[in-house]
Amino acid sequence: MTALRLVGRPALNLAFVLAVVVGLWALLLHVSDVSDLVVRRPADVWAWLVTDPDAAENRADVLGPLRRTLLDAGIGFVAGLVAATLLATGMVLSRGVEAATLPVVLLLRTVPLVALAPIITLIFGNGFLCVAVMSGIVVLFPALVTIAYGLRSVTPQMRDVVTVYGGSTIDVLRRVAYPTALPSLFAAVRISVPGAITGALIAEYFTTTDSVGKAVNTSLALYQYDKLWALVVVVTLASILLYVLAQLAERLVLQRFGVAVV
Amino acid sequence: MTTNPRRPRPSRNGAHHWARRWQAATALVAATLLLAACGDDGGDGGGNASAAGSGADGDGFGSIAVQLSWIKNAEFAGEFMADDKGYFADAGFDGVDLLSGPVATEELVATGKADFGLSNAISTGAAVANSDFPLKIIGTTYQKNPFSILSLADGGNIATPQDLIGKKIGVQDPNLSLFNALLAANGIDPDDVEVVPNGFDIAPLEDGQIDGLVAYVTNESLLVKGDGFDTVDLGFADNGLPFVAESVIATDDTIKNEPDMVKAFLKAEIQGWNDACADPEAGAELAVEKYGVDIDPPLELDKEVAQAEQQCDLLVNTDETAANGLFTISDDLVQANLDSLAAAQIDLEADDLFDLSLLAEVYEENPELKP
Repeated sequence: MTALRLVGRPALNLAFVLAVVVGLWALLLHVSDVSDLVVRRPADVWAWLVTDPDAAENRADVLGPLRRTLLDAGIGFVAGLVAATLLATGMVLSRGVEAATLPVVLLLRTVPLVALAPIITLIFGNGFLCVAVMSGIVVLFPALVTIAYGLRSVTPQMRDVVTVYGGSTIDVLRRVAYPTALPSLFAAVRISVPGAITGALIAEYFTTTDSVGKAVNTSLALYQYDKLWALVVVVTLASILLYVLAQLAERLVLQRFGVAVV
Repeated sequence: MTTNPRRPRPSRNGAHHWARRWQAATALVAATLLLAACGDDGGDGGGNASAAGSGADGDGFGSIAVQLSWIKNAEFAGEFMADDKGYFADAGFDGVDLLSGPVATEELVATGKADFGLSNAISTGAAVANSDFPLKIIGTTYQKNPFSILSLADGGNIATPQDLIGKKIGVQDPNLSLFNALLAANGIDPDDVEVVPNGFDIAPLEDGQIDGLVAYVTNESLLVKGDGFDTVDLGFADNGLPFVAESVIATDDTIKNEPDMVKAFLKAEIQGWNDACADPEAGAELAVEKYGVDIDPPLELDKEVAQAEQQCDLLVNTDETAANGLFTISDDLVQANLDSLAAAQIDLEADDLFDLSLLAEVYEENPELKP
């Protein structure tokens, strides 16, 4: 498969999604009767970020918090995925682990994060740990389910081959289960990207750092609608871009492992 | 979101409350998840006031809606008096719908969901300066803003701005810039103070989790006192940030096209507040028994009476209002407001934010309103 074909589909996806987002944005504002005082259209945000005399200053105002939010999301992404992989492995190895962890994970999933948030801040404070835990929770469940499914999809025949040659359960895991679960792992990575950003944004309401979650709040209080809309736009764009990047990484790795790339 | 359910209080600044923040959060989440920017930014919080005067027959001004800056406690004793004693009706209004806050008052008034709003100079100034909201302050109930850093005498004991250094202060997100302005006005390095996100929940202060809390000297301060603590207040107005609060705002259109309606409203307001300050107890009773009867946790009469008395003594009546009448804003006070705004990095001219011409006409036409 040529590199062009490999990159082509994610690039097409990106262009399509961007067009849909901008189209929906314009359409929604067109059909709803929200006051122009509070609404900003794609062209307004573009002007504020790019063509205004103060654009450089405006960009700094928005990109500073974005950097912090991406860092927060990164923390949650790694925390959530590592936890999901470890738990999924444990669940595959032992029914006991599954019985012990699944209800807790399900509970974390079913209670809305905003309701859990005050408890989490009480336990973990307003810092780094709080962000890691909140963002991690959003990532954990979908990743856990997907990865566990991948690990379980080893065929009995493959397992038998390893066992016949004297391999242990760990060997089955290492030589067969993990490679088999790669497509699932990458699916988990892809769905975790926007999840981690969502979790980070929620966590940031409770922390004091200069982040998008915080800046949205304060710009709302100060009626800085230009900044508010720009923040929403850049965080959305970042989310889309990272998703596409994850998709690209998925294709590269899966191709190398010889798994069919659609 | 408060971290303690004991005394749930929404946030203040006459600007925002938590529901609105979560609305914004939901919008953000929706944006990232659905990869689509959401267009509804919380303009639905304030009932559905008809445009003022649109249904007027004869001298009547129809029904209007007034967006308050806080829950219906004694803070609005004058409005309750004006309604209860029929001053609004006498002025030609079929009904005055008092909408409780806190919400984004400026947004609701500017977008026509309320005809008048009660807010403060910093919040309205931000809306005018940052997003060109066509709003003006046309008079004010509080001559001084009641914002303070509230602390416990045997805790943070923050009596001077210098005492803030090294302390942990609970600040509501909407008030962050205001708090920073207080630090700037007093030459304190923001790095020397630890800011903790907090609502207007007083429990963290009473429990000692924080040393100080941005509060209203007429409300949270009294609540903490009521719980048996010795309190210390560091008033913003006395420490470099003298700006008006509970100020009446209206759109430029309303001021230009319906001056008679505006004047009728201001007259009834002044009558109501004259009465409220003559008999604070009556205003407090109206809050507890009639207008704020649905508030949970219920208002306590003693605290409301104390609030009604204190706000009249400290905030509503000054030497200037004794001379010029309630709601007036002297030229000096206008300048002091602009200086406070500048400290909060909001640069405006007097004409951008204040239009006191109709209030002056009210006093010319009704000299008996003056004390």
